[in-house]
Amino acid sequence: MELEFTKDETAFRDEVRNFIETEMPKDVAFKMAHDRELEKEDFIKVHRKLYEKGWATAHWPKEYGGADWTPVQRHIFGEEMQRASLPMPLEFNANMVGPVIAHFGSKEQKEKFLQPTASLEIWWGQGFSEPGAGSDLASLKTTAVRDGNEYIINGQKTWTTLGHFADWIFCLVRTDPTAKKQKGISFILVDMKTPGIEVRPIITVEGNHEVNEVFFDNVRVPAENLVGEENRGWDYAKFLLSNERFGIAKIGVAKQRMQRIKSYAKTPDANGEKLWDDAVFRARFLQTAADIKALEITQLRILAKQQGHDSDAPDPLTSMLKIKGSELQQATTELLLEVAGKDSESPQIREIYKSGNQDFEWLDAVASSYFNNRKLSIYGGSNEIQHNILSKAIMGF
Amino acid sequence: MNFDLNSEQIQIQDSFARFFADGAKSHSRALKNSSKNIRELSHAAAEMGILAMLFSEENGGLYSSPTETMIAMEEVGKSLCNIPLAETAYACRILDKADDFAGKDELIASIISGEKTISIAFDEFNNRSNGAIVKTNENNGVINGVKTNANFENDYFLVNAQMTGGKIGIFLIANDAKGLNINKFMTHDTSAKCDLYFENVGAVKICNDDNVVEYAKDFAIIALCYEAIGMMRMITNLTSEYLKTRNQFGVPLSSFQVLQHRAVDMLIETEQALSIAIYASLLLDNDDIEARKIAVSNAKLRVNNAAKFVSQQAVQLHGGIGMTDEYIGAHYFKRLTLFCNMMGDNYFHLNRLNLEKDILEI
Repeated sequence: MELEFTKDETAFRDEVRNFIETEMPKDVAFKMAHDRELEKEDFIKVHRKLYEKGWATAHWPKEYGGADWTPVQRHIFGEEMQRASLPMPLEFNANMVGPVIAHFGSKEQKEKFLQPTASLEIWWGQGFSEPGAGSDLASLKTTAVRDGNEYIINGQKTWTTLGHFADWIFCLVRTDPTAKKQKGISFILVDMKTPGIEVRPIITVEGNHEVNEVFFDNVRVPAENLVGEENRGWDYAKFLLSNERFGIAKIGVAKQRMQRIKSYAKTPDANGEKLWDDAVFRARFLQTAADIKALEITQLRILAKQQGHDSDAPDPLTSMLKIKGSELQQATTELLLEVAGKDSESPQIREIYKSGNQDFEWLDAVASSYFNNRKLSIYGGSNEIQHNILSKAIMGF
Repeated sequence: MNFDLNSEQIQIQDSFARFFADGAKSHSRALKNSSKNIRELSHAAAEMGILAMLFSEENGGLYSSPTETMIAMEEVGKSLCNIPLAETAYACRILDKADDFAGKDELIASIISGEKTISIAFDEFNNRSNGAIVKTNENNGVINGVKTNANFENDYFLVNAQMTGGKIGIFLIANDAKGLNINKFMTHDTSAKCDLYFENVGAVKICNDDNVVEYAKDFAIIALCYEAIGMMRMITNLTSEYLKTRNQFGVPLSSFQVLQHRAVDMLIETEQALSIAIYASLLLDNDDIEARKIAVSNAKLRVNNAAKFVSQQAVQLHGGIGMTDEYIGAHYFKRLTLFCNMMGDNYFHLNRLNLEKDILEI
């Protein structure tokens, strides 16, 4: 048993930390650290810097720009990015479509897409969920019908995160309506400028535009844009989702938020009183901190296992990270909202900080972050789906 | 970073698993008379080398890290053996780092061999602060006061007492010392406990270093946590097996999603408890005392919460059977419930964390 990183791993962590400190845009980190919405340019600024360093796609096969990182290195990179309040390389590009094209794409697709995908010259959207296909993704209905050298796509995708920034979208479409559920699905790449595509915003509870509906009305796509074999799309989607396991618990984000909660709670109010001095509040804070510490070690245990076996197979224990990780993220946004109290809604306070008083600046996005983060236990396979996975894989029910 | 046991530790685990599983046949807490022959089990456990692992080489022991003891404790928990090993470990870790006193080497040798047994008597009645206030006092080598909740069936007790000038000292007292009266009782988990009444009892001071005592306590807390984790592991398995075999409405209970998810939550709690106990165990011998204390209190807090949830759900998912004295799971439930109050409840550990500077830095 050994808790410490190796010498090499520590050196790597220092390298990452140093790079972040010297090269990363401070304004983006400030926004993220205060739970504010990022602009398209913010994502691009961070991603490009990482791309130039060779770290945006470090986990890709080496011949396509990968850096041959161990699972522990990948973990360290994620932790350091979260610790510094920076967005990870755009996941649709780096973790989803990129690895799929690298593993299953044609030579032409690799040549055309991999480099601009890695550099974020192409911004990808994810076209998986549909109004009738959420947790039950395989029941998707969007069709692609072969017509000569083209597919004609009809249907609707939804929850397309940052789809309004997307240049291209990778979609799961039904190519064989007679086959059983998972069997008739294909994986296809679509240029968002193609006639017949319409993107409509979905405004989420906090009032922001983050997700979209994407409508396909007789959208003609060259047949060469189909990835791999027709009707094998479900396999590629499963491969893609196995890449999601890294950093799913977002411990670094939770820890960073706990630090903020603590420092705000220690700030005296108008009466000179601090929430930090309230024993009930502090007990809740300490309980949450203990839970986060436990999850951090759970994550390291899973990581150490992967490092030892170097396997790409999804570990069902990752479902545990998803469940507890999202719960703890939500617990921290809830604590933050409690620290802010009713002031988080006060227009008066907003006026004060807009006039340059930074003492109250942090209140800005506290409530919207709480609202928005309820998504964590819903997306990426809802926590109930994760319970089903553990129930089957570990408990043997 | 590595969380695997080494090959020697795996061997230890295998032999303890067999030893305690076998011991449970006659020493399980589910058996009414299991407290009657604790000495027999303790002696056999010592012969297995369990107590040698608590003493350093210079004292004739085999101590290498806390992990070996934690492995044994997890097996104690799984088997539900009635053996107060965490309390013994508490006493042994103090003794290992104690001052020199006449007969120390012989005493340690007799404990390692299992010939003699030792435990702690630190608790005092109506003392919510879990030992922070000590009313038992020592004056010129003579002890007066009352201790409660000590484990019975021991040849020696380590007793803490306030010395002239207010400092706390640790004193060695034999169970047949003149002026010592012992009142035995049994707790819900069939532990053999006792109250100790000291009336001018002569005693030998063996240690007055608070750091040694606090270290030994932290060691014992994590040992106890591992026992709890073994128990949680066991009742989670028992529950999942029960759900698979019990039929209602013509189908196994395990086909109901609400029960599946609850069982998964038991698993998650057990794994979270294990993670934080591993972390604390790896910091026990750390030079950074503050980091150790935070890790240990975090662990007890988290394992307490898990113990409550897992044991309550085990009873719930077993239905009426879980309520019966005949069912073994009910005895795990009782032991896990008492565990939460042992060596610091949540209030104690929250208060201890409150005193620390910055728990998130570590």
